[in-house]
Amino acid sequence: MTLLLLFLHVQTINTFSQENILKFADHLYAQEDYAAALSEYRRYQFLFDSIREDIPEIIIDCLVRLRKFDEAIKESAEFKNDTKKDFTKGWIYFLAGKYDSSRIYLKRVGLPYKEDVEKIIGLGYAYEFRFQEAGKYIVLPEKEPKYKKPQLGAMCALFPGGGHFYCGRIGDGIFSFLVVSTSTLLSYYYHNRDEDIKFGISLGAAIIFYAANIYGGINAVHNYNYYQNEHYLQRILEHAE
Amino acid sequence: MNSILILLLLAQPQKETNPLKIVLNSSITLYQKIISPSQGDVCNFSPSCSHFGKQAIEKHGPLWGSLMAADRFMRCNPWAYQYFDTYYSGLKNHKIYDPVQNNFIFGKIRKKETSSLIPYPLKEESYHLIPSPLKGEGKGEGE
Repeated sequence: MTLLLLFLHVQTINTFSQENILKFADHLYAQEDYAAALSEYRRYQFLFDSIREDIPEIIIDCLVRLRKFDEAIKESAEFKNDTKKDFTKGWIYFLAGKYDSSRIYLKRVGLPYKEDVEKIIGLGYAYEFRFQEAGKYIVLPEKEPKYKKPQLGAMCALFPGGGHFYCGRIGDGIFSFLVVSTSTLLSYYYHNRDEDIKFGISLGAAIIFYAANIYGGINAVHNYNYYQNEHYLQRILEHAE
Repeated sequence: MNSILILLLLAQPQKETNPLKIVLNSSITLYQKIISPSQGDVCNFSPSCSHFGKQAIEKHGPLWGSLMAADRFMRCNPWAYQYFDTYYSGLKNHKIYDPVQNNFIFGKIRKKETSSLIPYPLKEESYHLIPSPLKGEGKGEGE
């Protein structure tokens, strides 16, 4: 009897009503199951003529969260309002890391979104480490990054470990010095003992390590500069929030 | 001597024509199969120095690849962890993450990937490009 009543009750609920589909889609979105939410919103869009105004925007949001940027761009082309369309495209390209394309669309956007547009353009430049340009659009924190010169790193690296010392990596510098000097001393030792094969191997190792030490000096400067930029970018993002 | 050469060739699974590449790759493979298991997991980096060397040689050729591998070998020292957050891209599986592409000095300048998924317009009260269905429930805003 209970089962029959339950069955009859279930029959009265219209699971696939417009409202229920939307509720379910919203629930999935809330649970951060964006792929399932996306298919529900699309189903809703397909089944019913009069749809909620923000559905296309939520669909774009889901696509962006799923990192399906190309699909999101296609979806944004459906917007009738040109300003909104350009703004959304610029925003999607920004998230996709295509800052040049993002700027093309954002620079077309007019007044209602001016403040947001400037923020996104500025952040786009900041992500590209073009801080001077970024400064034209957003307020940058003080203390700009200080860079080191790769040429000077290479010069310092002529002394084994010097490139690492120049970048403040004392441990790496000491280790490089030890490796290069040990292999050089070893080759000298075998040379004095007339052990040609061992001398050849140790000399080869010494040459490779010395060359790698110079390479490492330049690489250390490159990485030093990169992380200076990255830390400054981090401060910009904190500042922008 | 002959047996070493045969071992080197056997350790090289892929068809490679550059002899220097074959020798270098085979040596690393032999190290990985014979010496490395007896040492255990001792490398400070991810990918490990031998994997890094292989990838570098594969990607940038024997000359630059071996230089990069030797440079990495010299950086894999007891002080390496001091610099994991200042000179490297943080940790991965409790090891310092240092992929090949972060160490090629002639490549394009690296760019930071966009980390913030939801940009500021969505956080602003004045304008919501995408209104969250959870608005008012204390979730879904400003991730």
